[in-house]
Amino acid sequence: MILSPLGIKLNNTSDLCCFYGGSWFTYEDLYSLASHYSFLIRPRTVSLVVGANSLHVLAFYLACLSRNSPLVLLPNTLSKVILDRYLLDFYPRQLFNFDSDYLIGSNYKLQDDYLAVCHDAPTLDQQHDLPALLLPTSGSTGTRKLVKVSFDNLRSNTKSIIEYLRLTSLSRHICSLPFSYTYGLSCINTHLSVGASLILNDYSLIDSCFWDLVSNLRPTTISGVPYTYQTLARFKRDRLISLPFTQYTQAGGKLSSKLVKYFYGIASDSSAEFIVMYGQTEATARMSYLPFDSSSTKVGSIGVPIPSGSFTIDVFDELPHINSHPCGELVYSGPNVTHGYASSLSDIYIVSPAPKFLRTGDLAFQDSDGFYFIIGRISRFAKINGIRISLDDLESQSGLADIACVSDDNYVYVFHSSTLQPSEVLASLKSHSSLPSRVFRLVPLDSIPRNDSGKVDYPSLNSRISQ
Amino acid sequence: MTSNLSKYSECFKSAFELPVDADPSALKYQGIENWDSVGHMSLMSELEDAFDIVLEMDDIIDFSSYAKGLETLAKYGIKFDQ
Repeated sequence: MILSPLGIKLNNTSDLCCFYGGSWFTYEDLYSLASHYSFLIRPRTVSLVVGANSLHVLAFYLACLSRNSPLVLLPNTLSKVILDRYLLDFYPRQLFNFDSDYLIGSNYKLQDDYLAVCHDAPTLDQQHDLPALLLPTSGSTGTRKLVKVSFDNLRSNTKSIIEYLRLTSLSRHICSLPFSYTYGLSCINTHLSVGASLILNDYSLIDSCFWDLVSNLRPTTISGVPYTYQTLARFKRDRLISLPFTQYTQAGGKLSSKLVKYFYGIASDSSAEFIVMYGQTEATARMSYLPFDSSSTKVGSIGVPIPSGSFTIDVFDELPHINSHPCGELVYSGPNVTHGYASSLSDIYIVSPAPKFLRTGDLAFQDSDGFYFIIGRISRFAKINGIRISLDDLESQSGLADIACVSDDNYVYVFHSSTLQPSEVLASLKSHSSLPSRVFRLVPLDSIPRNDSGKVDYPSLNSRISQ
Repeated sequence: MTSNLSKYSECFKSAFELPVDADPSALKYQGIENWDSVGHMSLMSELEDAFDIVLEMDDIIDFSSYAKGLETLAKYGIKFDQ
């Protein structure tokens, strides 16, 4: 059974499954296309797909799961240079949804419009378990370190999410996030697994085509990152209340308290729910959620752990208590904690025992009602529009000797020695990442501040940007 | 004094990082790399700051080109005397 790895029930295969390219397709249609691809995939070889919310990508994804072919899932914004490196490191046999121009002169031969195969690619060792998915953590820089997601990770996280969101076959989801983004993918997994319908869409919310789909097909669920809600908030209140959605979810970074309250109000007035959630790729997708009935009293909270998950706080004595609650690093445990990283074929295997804990890198406290609140980050990652960016990678890969990066929710601030030309710094950052230049704010300094041991004094840089 | 039309053009240059001597008047949404959905919102912010207005979502969605945007801003009382 092609769809079984995700636990998809096929009670009625003639049910509507997804809307794509102007037509509806049934579960049977998706099943047939996935079967077609599965015959072209050799088990225990790597597949690589450039994500898109399309029927074909979805079918190929399911085919890879069914054929035990670890799937590297990449965003469609990567440069050719970065894609080349992934190909070199992971030697995929199957490439899916690549530009045909990209394949010219390569060892890959197109089998149909979307699938290209390299017959020389290696088959992986039979002795070890393979991951279901390999997902990038830092979407836009060329760090080829992929999170190893097992079948169990995928199944358990999908099941937990369905349970707390109470999704049913009557739910209808409009895709508003990339397929390659764990949050976007989790929406697809959960809706398919309950026999719901999906509107496969890559239009942005500011595109009238998106709103044509909403008014014609009346989706009930929508998911968004903070930026999505900042954009939605520009609609007049009456218009928002008239939208067909019965469930709004938000993850991918912290939404301002003002907007949390605003959308709580919108949802309440339109018999809908607004649910704040929290997750990381290293937890497959999700770790916690804020139940709607607590949204108004626990504004700013990431809520409570998902079913089958739990949090502990690794208390840091040097941090001040908040309302007498000790603060420390948030540590997650649950069956969706992924199996470390792969940077090449040699470390692609799932090694037992499964990791028990995930150190999130977030600083948090738990209030007396059991709700968790994040107060900052330990690790050096920026999160802008849902894209996680490793600041350390950005610094080291830029090839510039004297720069230091810090970030807030909107920008990466690049402090650089005033001996460097801003244009030179920007060009270098852009060529080593796939980030648009508008993400960067350049700040020239006489010299980068360093502490006694010669390390960059990031706290002092952070205090400069918060002024 | 800067005319509203040149102020309007400056917003495009700044949002899409165009050279100072560029002529943005033929630009369309998704016609250039930087005018994608996120660039679109940068442009909206630039215009809101420059003209001290708050654009409504429907106008943001309809803002499909440089030319179309002139009509949109006219609705907010911005005059573009040639």
